[in-house]
Amino acid sequence: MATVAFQQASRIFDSSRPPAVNRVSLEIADGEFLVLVGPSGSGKSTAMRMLAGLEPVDEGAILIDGKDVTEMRARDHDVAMVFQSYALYPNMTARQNMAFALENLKLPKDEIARKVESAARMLELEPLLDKKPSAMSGGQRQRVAMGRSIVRDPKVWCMDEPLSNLDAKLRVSTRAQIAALQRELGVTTVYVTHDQTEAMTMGDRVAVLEDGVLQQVDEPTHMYENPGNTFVAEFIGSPSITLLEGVRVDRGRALLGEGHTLDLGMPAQFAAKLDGDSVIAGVRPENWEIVSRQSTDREDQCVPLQVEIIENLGAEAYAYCTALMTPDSTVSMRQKRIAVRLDSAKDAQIGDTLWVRPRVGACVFFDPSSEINLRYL
Amino acid sequence: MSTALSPAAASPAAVPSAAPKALPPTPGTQAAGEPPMNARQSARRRAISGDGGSPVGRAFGYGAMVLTALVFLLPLYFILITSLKTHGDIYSDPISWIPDPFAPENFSTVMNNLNFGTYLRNSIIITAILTIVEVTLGVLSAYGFAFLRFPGRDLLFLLLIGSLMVPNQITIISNYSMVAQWGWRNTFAGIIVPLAGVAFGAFLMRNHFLSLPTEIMEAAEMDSAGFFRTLFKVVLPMSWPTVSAFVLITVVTEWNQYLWPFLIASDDSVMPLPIGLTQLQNSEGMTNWGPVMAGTIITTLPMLLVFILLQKQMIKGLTAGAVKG
Repeated sequence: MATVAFQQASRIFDSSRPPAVNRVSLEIADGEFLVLVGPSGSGKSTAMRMLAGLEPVDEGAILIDGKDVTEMRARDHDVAMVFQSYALYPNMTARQNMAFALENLKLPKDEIARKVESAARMLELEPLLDKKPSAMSGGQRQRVAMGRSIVRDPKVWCMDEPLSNLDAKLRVSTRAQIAALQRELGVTTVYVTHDQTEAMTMGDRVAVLEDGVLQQVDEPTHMYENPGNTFVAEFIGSPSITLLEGVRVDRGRALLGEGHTLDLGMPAQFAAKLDGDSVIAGVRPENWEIVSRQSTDREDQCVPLQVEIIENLGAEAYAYCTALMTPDSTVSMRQKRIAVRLDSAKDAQIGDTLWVRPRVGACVFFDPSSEINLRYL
Repeated sequence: MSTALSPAAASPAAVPSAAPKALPPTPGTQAAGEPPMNARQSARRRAISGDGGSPVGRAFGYGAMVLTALVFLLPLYFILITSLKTHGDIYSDPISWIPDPFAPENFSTVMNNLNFGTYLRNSIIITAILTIVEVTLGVLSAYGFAFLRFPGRDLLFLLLIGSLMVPNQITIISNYSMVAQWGWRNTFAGIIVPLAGVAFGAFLMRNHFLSLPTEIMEAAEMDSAGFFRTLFKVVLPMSWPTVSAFVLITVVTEWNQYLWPFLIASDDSVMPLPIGLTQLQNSEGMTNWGPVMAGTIITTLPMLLVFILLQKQMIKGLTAGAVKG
C-alpha cells in the first residue's frame, strides 16, 4: 500500500537521441490501478522498469510512499513485477518459485508456507504447486507469475503486458481476474499494455505516453470523450476517431458540408480561443448519425460518404467510407477512411452512399496549430 | 473469495487444455470415406510409422553406420585383445583376432609390478583437484564478467580471451623455472598450480550466462536474492548442461595432461597415468605390448565412465519452460 510519484523522471539511453522517458511527472494514489499505454517504443515499459528499479533514473526522481527510491537498488523498492515472459525459475516448482522471495527475506518457514498457500488459494493454483513451469500451460505459468509477485505483499505491483502471451479467450477471463484481484488486495498497481480494451476496462486511470512524453492521464471514459490532443484521440478508441482538418469557423460556429451549412455544434467559448478561422474536429465512429441512405432533401444538413469496406463483428458492424467532397472543399482528413458504426451489417453495402451527420454535442475540437483539445486551453 | 473472480477464470476449465468431452462436429462439415492419399503421402506415412524407407536406402544407412563404427571401434578392439594376449601371441602371423591363450595376467603384472596403482591414485588426485579448481574459478569469473559492471571489464575479458591464443608450450620454460625456484619440483603443487589457470571455462560459461533470459535475472533481483544466492539458486540450475560440458572437457584434458607432469614428476610418487604408461614401455629392453595395452585400458576406462555419467546431463536442456515457449 503506497503512493507513487514520478517527478520529472527521465531515462536517457543515448544523449544524442531524445530520452526514452522524457520528464514524466505523475502521481499515483494509494491503491490505484494505473494503466500505462502507448505505441511500441513509447517508453511505457521503461517508465515502469524505472519504478521497479530495473532501469536507472537519469534525471528527476521517483518516490514510493513519499520515500525517494531514485538511487535505491531494485530489491529495496519493495515492488513486485509480473514479466511479459513470466520469467519463472525453470528449476523450481510453483511452490518454490513463490517462496523464493520470502526465503530471501529470511521469513520463518511456517509463515512462508502460510503465505504461499493463501496466494495459491487466491489464484486457484493449489493443484499446480508441485509442478515445474515446463509442465504448465501458458495460462498456468501466468498465474504462477502473478502468485510469485503478490505473495510478499509488495508496496507496488507492476505488470508488463502480462496477458500478451495468452490466447484471446483466456485473456478476457484473466483480465477480469486481475482487475478483481487488484481491487481485493488494494495494492497500488501500474499496468503496461498496448491493448485498447485492457486500457479502457481495467484501470482507475489511464496514462498515455508517446515518444517518452506523457500525453494525458485521466479516467478512461473521460479520456475517451475528452482526449487532450489529437494523438490521444487517435490512439484511444478502435476503430479510430475521424479527424477533419480545416473545418471553417464562421461567427463562432464550426461548419461543414457543401456551402458550409452543417453546424458541428462547437461551444461558443471555444471560438474565442481560436486564432484563425479553422478548427480540427474529431468524430468517433459511433457519433455519426446516418440521416439517409438515399438522396434526401436535407442534403445541406449532412455529408455524403461512399462505403468501401464493411467490418461485421456480429453484434455490430463498422463501415469504412470515403467522403464525397466538393472539389473546392477546405476540409481534409487525417485518415484515409472514415469509420462509421452501424447497428447491423445489413444497414449498408459496399458501394452505397450514406448521408451522415455528427450527433449534436459529440464532436471534439482541437486547435489547428497545437492540436490540443480546445476544452483544455 | 473466488466469488470475486470471474467464473470463467476461476474454473480449471479456463486453462486451454484438452476439451473435457469431444462433441460431434456440426453436421455437414465432415466428408465421407477415407481421405485420398497420393504416392508421396503414402511414402511419408511409411517413413514416420517406423518401418519406413526403401529397403535399399535402409541397407545403405546401416552399412554406413557399421563402417563408421568399425573405423572407431577396430583400434579399440585391437587394444583390448592385445591387452589379453601373451607376448608370443601378439607377434603371431597372421594376427589372431581372439586372444589364445587368454592372458589376463597382463593386468595383474601392470598393477603389481609397476606401481600402476600409485599412478592411478596420482591421476585421480591431480584431475580431481584441477577440475574442482578450474570449474570453480571458471564459473565465478564468468559470473563476474557476465553480470558485474566494473571499469576495465571488457579489456580484462579481451586479455582473458587473448590468453587462449597462447600455446601452452610457450609458457613452459618460464613456468618451469618458477616452479623449480619455489622448490615444487616433483610435488603435486608443482603439477597442479601452473595448470589451474585456464581461460577456456570462463569464456564458455560467460557466453552461456549472457544467453540466459535477462528477465529471470531481474526477477531474482526483485525477489531480493543476493549475488551468490542468484548464482547458486537461479543461474547454475539453469546452466547444468553447459557446466557438465565444461566439467567433462576439463576432466578429459587434465586426465590426459602429458607434457607438464612429465617435466615436473621425476619419480612414481606424483607421476600420473600417461607418464606411467611411458615408464611401462621403457621398463624392459624390448616393449612388451601386452602390459602396455593393459595399462592403456586402465587409463582410458575412467574417462569412459565419466563420459557415460555426464553425457545425459549435457544433452538435457534445462531451460525449457523458463520463459514462454
